[in-house]
Amino acid sequence: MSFVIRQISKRATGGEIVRQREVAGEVLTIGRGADCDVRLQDLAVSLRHAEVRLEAEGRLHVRATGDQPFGVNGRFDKEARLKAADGSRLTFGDHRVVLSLEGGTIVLTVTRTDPLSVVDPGGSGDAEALAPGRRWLGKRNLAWTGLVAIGLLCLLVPVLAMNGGLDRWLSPRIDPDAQWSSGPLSMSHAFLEDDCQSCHQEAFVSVRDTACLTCHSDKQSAAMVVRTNAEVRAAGATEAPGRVADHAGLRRLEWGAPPPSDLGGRIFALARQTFNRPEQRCAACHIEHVANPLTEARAEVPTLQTAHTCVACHADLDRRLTDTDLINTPDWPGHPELRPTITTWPGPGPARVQRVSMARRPHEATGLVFPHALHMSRTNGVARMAQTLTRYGAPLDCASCHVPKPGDDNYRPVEMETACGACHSLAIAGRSGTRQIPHGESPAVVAFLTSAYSRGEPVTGAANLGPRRRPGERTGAALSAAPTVGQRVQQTFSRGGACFDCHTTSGTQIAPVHIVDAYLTRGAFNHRVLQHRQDAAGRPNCTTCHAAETSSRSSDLLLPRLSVCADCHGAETSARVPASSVASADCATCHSYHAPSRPAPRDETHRVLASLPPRSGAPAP
Amino acid sequence: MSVSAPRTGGRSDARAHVGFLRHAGYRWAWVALVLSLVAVAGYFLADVKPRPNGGTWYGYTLGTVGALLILWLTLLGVRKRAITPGSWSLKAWVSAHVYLGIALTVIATLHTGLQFGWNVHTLAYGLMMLVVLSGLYGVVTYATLPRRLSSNRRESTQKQMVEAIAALDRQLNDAAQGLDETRAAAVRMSIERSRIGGSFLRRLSARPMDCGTRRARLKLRRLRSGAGEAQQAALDDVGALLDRKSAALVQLRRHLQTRTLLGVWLGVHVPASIALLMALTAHIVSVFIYW
Repeated sequence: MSFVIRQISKRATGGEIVRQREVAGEVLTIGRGADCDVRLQDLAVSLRHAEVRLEAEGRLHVRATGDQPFGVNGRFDKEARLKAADGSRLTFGDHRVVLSLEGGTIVLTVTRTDPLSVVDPGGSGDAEALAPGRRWLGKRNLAWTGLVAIGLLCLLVPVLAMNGGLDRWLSPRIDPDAQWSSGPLSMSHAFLEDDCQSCHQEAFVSVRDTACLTCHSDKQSAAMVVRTNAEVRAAGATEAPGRVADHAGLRRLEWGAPPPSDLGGRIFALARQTFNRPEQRCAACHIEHVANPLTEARAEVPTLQTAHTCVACHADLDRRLTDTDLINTPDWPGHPELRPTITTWPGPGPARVQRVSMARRPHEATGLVFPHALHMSRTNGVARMAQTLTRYGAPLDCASCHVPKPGDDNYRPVEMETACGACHSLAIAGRSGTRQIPHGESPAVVAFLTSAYSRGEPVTGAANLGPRRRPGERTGAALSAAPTVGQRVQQTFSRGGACFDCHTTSGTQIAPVHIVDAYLTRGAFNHRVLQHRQDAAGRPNCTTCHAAETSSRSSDLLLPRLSVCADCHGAETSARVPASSVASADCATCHSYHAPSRPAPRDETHRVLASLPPRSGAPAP
Repeated sequence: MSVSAPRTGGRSDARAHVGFLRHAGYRWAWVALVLSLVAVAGYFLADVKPRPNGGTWYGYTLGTVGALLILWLTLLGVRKRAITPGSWSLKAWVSAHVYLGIALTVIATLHTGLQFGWNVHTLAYGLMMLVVLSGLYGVVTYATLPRRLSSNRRESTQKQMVEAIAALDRQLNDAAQGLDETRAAAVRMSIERSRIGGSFLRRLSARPMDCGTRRARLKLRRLRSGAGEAQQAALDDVGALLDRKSAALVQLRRHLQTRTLLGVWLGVHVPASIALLMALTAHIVSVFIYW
């Protein structure tokens, strides 16, 4: 018997070389050794790996010689009995031996299945074979991942959340648009941190005043104020929002502001217009998101950044706002004279008040008779009388009548009963004790007196027998005839009567009295400032500004002129003005933007008394 | 070394190679320096209220310049793929890319006003810095690694190195035919398990511990004693071949290592650039949405 061994090897160029030889005998050896019948140059094959023995006709017995098995049709085995005609496949290392029967001869076809080396000499010249592209961490994958992730998380999700599109899926504690905030809000607005839309109400539109006025409008009704306060407190605010009026209407502000003068200003104006960020907005001056989020604490209030100085608009305001009643104020020396609101006609009929410049030396017509000089004299009868009264014990001074209003910059209105009553007594001795004539409307006084006189009051003293007799005055003929009740009432209203001291009367009618609540309605004077109250030696200095001691007429307007203010404010140090009295002269001392009649809030260093103290030595009223 | 090559009417720098860093006498370095200095001077001169940051007029100006720079810098990816007619120089473009990219860090940092936080704006800034820093690493590798690449290569190409190893494998296979099973298995380990290239981390190592050839040499050194005379001769041949193969492997692996290092920064630079484009979009769009 014999076997045919057909060895097929591949050329480098791709073709095949077939070598065939015949081996006689019953047994065939397979291995790497040079003495084997089928020599496989394969290091995975043993030197003597297996032998093939021919048993019956066409039947073969394959057996491993050593410990190493061989492959039989895909399985590993150390022994196998096979039919040559079945075309079985034996594998030894990388070599394959296929059995077949061709014309009665057993043929073993030997081929190598794998290339020898792990390196493929054909393709290794190119970098990709040895440096495969990273499948998951490749540049393209990473780039797309980053692009899509950032696009989703930082843009799409916040935009959807902003429009409420994710309300059903997102917990209310997650704020996708919080990542858009460039810095923290101030403490006063911190409770709005999670609610961007409370201010940024419309996409691509800068924050408008409507958002601010939701809480800060001064036009809210009392009920609205209560409701708004409750709402912001429920949202976490620590204090109630301040209510502010605007400086002027939006159109007036726009017209009143000066046009940009230089190129830079024109560029800014163009940019503001192009990007829809008008200058006349709350948010243009009150700026949020300013603090550095990592290193700085929240500011207390939004950072203030003024767009214009006061003078920028007011220097030549009437050129742009031709209907304005405001007088141009180019600077402090050019500030118009004080224009107090004074009563020019107290009545009868409607009272007339008007603003009159102090430059016109105006006189007031309050309907009241009160010569300051008479009351402030240190030597006359008034002074003597005050000295005898325990309440005063000294000649009258300003504080005798003018009492500070607690917690306010100013004084209480002078009230007749408390301020004048000690001397100008309204008391009459009734049958059941002292009674006060009601100070007020004429009819009530007439009714009271008629009733009292009818009952024979006053029982003693008082000015019941006609005009009061003054020291040194002879008693008049009026005493000779007993007057009627009507005459006696009439006498109270006439010269010498109690009313006539201070009022202008006609019959039993008292002429109307009208005194304005405040003289300076467009600016403020703070009596609590220490220098406004006392001089360097600590003495009261009311008369520095108010020429009360020399005012002998009731119609004198005891307000200073602006030049008196300018003595200290904006003054140079001179012999007349000691250095300690030199004070600032900026607009904010007397005016503020949102409330021009009040000064702008001051910092702590500005010396203002907590409250106007009563004059030392003067007993409390 | 001369800074610029004489112009001969043909391609510029044709006679002596001038790298992108020194291109045109550092022209773009000067442009970038002046740009940065102007930005810094403006930062200190501009009286911005209430504080310097991206929301002031100077901040918006720097932001616009920075955004346009980023767009232009990213366009290098388009430009290098476009074979354009005309005389624009890709080298000039790369030179400007590098130096203006460095200037961008100055402009963008001034744009932030050093106001950082956990927000989309700082994300964009961080990505930009990552892109620039990875780019700087790229510049350093391009300045140093090519020299190492050619000194390691010694006149041969990667293909030749691979072929040399394949030839050594064939010789090893032939020389080991006479060896017994255990020793033959050691040689097989060298032939079959000497991995070259592969994943990123594998390519970074020139002498990996699990290299088949390294293990084969160790094993055969142990199995040297007790071999028969015929085997001894084969072992000598195999040993010499393994030594040569080991040296060839180190050379090829070092070649791949260097090439990997030359390319790795792009794996950060490019994805971060693309992510930056989106972060920049989110940054700008969000600012205008909450205007």
